[in-house]
Amino acid sequence: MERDTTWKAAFEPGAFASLSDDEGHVWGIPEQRDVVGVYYNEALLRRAGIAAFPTTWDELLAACSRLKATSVIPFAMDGDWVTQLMWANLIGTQPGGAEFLQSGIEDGGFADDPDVVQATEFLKRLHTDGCVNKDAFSGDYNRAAAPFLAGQAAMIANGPWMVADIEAAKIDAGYAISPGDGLIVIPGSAGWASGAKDDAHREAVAAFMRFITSDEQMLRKAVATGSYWPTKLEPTASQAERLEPLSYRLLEQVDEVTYAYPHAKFATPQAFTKAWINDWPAYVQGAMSTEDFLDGLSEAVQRQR
Amino acid sequence: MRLEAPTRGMGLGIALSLVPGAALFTVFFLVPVGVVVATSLSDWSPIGSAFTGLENYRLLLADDAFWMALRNTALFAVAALFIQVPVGVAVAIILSQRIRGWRVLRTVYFLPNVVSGAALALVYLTFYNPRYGLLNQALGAIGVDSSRDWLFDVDTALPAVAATWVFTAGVVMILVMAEIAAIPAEVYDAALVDGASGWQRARYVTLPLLRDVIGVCAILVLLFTLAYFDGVYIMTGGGPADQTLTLSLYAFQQYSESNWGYANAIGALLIALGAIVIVAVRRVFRIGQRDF
Repeated sequence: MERDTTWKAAFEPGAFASLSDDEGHVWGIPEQRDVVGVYYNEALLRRAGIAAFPTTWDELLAACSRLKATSVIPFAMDGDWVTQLMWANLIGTQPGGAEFLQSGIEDGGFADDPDVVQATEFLKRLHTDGCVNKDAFSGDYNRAAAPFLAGQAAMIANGPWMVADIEAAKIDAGYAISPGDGLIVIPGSAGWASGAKDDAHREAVAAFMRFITSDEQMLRKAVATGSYWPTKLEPTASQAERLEPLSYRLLEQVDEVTYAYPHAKFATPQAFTKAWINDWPAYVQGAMSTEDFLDGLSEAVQRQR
Repeated sequence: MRLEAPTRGMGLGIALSLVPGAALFTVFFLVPVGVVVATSLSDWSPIGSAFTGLENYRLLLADDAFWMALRNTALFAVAALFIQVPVGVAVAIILSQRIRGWRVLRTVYFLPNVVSGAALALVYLTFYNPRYGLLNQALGAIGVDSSRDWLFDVDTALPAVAATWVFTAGVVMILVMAEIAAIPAEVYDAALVDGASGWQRARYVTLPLLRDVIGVCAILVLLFTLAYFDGVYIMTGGGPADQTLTLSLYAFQQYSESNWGYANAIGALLIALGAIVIVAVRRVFRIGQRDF
């Protein structure tokens, strides 16, 4: 890759971030680049008199009140993946939030960061104000997905892989950028790696990688799977027509949003997720302070580093 | 009772016949226990291993999560000993009276014991669900408004988890019923002649003769609580805020975080606790000792 600078330059900035070591040595080739937004049930929003998806966090709170008045769960969460997506959105849509989620999160000390404290308390408020499903704590993704797919919840944060389920559930859904004008971008996930030990095999692997990351193959994969390319590919209008419209429209907005940032799980170890699932219910119920909750997360991050 | 010495010349045969069992016991029990204990004295992870003496045990003493897991395991043990065993014994004594439908009741009560713990845990996840679970709906039907998330509320998580198994005393019931069936009818006849009521026969004849089997049941349920993992792993993962964390689950969590030496220190403690439980219960119940 170092010898083929044209090929390397074909990838989006940050595509190798999760596939490199601390010294910048690339050990894998990215296969996809996911953009994660917020799905919403258009019919439920309309019924609550909400004309458009909230663009600010205050608008989200207002929408929550209106949706509750129609006996709809405003936001579906699960106590893990989906909940943390919203935590990332709340942090990422603050100045400096992207840097925190990209690398600062590895250092811990969350309770000392006012933006993180504010985001955490806002997310808690969504729960205590009844804007979230009552069973939003187990860490089981289905706790969030089920009410949304059953038409009982109006909004859920998730990636493009959920489109197939939404279509199967026949929900008239929209896919929006987060309130606060931000998008979670997972720049280079599911990478390829090789164990080739001699030059001949390395050359063969490199040739295959160039083929598999070529525009033609990336487009074919996107059409077939709904996951998008980590390269700077710009499809023509006719090529774009073959792509899944809901998620592709969101992908097109990546360069226009004010904030683009990774998911909270991007730079955190498994212990962070465990600590979150364990402590989040207690924190929301008021059995832990914000400081204690965030200190628990910080300790988990530093323990496993 | 004294056992007769083997006939001369049979010693070698007996020794040889013990070899397979002894070999299996060594390979599948003694060696793993030795490894657990030995590695509990090291900082062992995927990176490597270094002898650290009792450092893991010193860290355990200062580990809040460990103390919480120990507390929860102890509470589960108390619940097993003082609820599960008495419930099983009571059901066994009642069913042994051959009340109408006792065979059906025995089967029904034993049924949860033949269902996998993981499957039961999934059922209870639904049962306790605050949005659509049967428990909150039943409470609503009798006028108690509840939207409590029983398994993820810090005040109710531990009893909610315990309630999923503490009343399931089918094994205790079966063992005690078998023991009751072995009590000679003459003993009850004598009690009848003395004018003992049904309650008096149960209290002064049946219960004392069940001491051994109740002791065995106590050992079984206490060892179950020490090893309790699948249900709590599936239902709560040890949360919220470690309120349902058990020692077995905590050992597993440490293992999955690659703290293998630390996990094995917890494992070694579990082995020691198991041995203490067996010795203590045998002494308290004087298992195998005769009163006459």
